[in-house]
Formats: sequence, structure tokens, C-alpha cells
Amino acid sequence: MSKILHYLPELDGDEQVHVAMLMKSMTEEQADQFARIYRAQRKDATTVLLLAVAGFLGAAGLHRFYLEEIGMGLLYLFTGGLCVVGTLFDLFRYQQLTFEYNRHRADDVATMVQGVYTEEEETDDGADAA
Amino acid sequence: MTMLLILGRSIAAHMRRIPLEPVVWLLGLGAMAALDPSATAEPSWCLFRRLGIDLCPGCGLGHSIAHLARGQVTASVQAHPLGIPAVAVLLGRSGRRLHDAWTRSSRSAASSFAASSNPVSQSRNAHV
Repeated sequence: MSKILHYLPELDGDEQVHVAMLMKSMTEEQADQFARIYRAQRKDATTVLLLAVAGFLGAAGLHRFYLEEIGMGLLYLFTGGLCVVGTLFDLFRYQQLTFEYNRHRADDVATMVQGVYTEEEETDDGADAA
Repeated sequence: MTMLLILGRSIAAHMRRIPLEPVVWLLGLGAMAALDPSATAEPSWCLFRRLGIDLCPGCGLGHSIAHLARGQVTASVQAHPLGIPAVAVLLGRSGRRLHDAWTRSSRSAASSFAASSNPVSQSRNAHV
């Protein structure tokens, strides 16, 4: 837990727990790199909420585009957010929607960072890798 | 009594593993498919229409899906041209969410058995 409070203090809730679990097995160098890349890639839950609210003003599904779900975004846009029902449903679940996206990003970044840094250490001076 | 409580808790724990979103989409699609495509609901389910706004881009989707469930493709497209894409997108997304949840729960079960000595290869395997 201390690593996440040091590198990514802005996270909370499920996201904090999940990222803390990923960071537990990282070295300080990996954690630092992970925090930088993940901070740039993660999406903000409040933005998702605001974009979902825009659905009531006619532009439904913007939050789905923001979360890179193009199919769902188009569907919402051209059906008025499934007759407002979809927009309402997403409004109550904006935190879970954002977390689902961020969890995928965090997993990908963690795999990448751990892979890259192990390889570098192996080629540099093998023994220090572990 | 305590047995009931324990049973209830374990059911609740399992329920939490099942993601809500695909369940809602699939139940919604099922309900639409079960509707009578020739019926007209009065008062309308549509929130726009209830608010007095006649312009609703989503109206006709229910009929479209109901026609599609009965194999009437032309009627489905006439009711709402996006009925078929809507079903495809929702089914696709539900499938992906359920698949995610399934791999996630099986991975957490696997990682609790595996030794934590090599976290790097472990997390790599998990993503393959």
C-alpha cells in the first residue's frame, strides 16, 4: 500500500486496491515508470459522469466514446441513449465503467513495465534481475 | 437460521463476481424479444414521449428486436434500422464483459495456488 500512496496518491476505491496489488511485486524503478505511464493513460471518472449527463441534452454516448467503446458510443448516439434508459443506467454506474477501462489499462501497463525492465536488467548485468 | 445466513452470504459473494452490465443487456434483449411486435404499448415506455417530446431516435428499437427474434428481418429494419446492429453490439459487449469476468476469477484462483516467487512471469502468463 505504501508504494501506491507514494507514486499514485490520487487513486481511490477499487482502482486503488487493484493498482496496489499490481505494484506490490514491482521494484521502485518499475513502480515509478508504471505510475508515469498509467497516470497518462487512465481516464477520469468525473469526466465520464459529465459526458454521460450530456446525453440528456441530445448528445448521448459521449462517455462511451471517451472510454473507447466506439460501437456502444454510436449505438447510444443514434438511439438517444437507448431511449434514455441506457444513459440513466450508465449515470448510476459511471464509477464502475471507468474502473473497468482503467483496470485493463493498468494490467497492460504493468505487464509492459515489468517485461521491459526485466529484459534490460538481464542484458545489463544478469545477476541483479531478481 | 445461521445456515441460511451463510448460504445467503456465499450467494451474494458469487453474485458480486457476475458483472451487472451484461446481465442487464441480456435481460433487456430477452424482454424485447419476448414482446408482441404488433402490439402498441399505451402509455408508451419511452421517457421522451412521456415528457411530451415526440422526437425520439430510439423509438421502434423494441419492435425491431421483437421482429428480429421471429426472423422477420424486413419488418425489423422497417421498425428501426439500427435494431440489428444494436443486438450485435450489445451481445458482443456482453460476451466480452462475461469473458473478462470469467478469466479474472479463474486467474485469481490460479494465482492463489501459484507460488509468488516469480511475479513477472505470472502476470505475463495471465495476459496471454
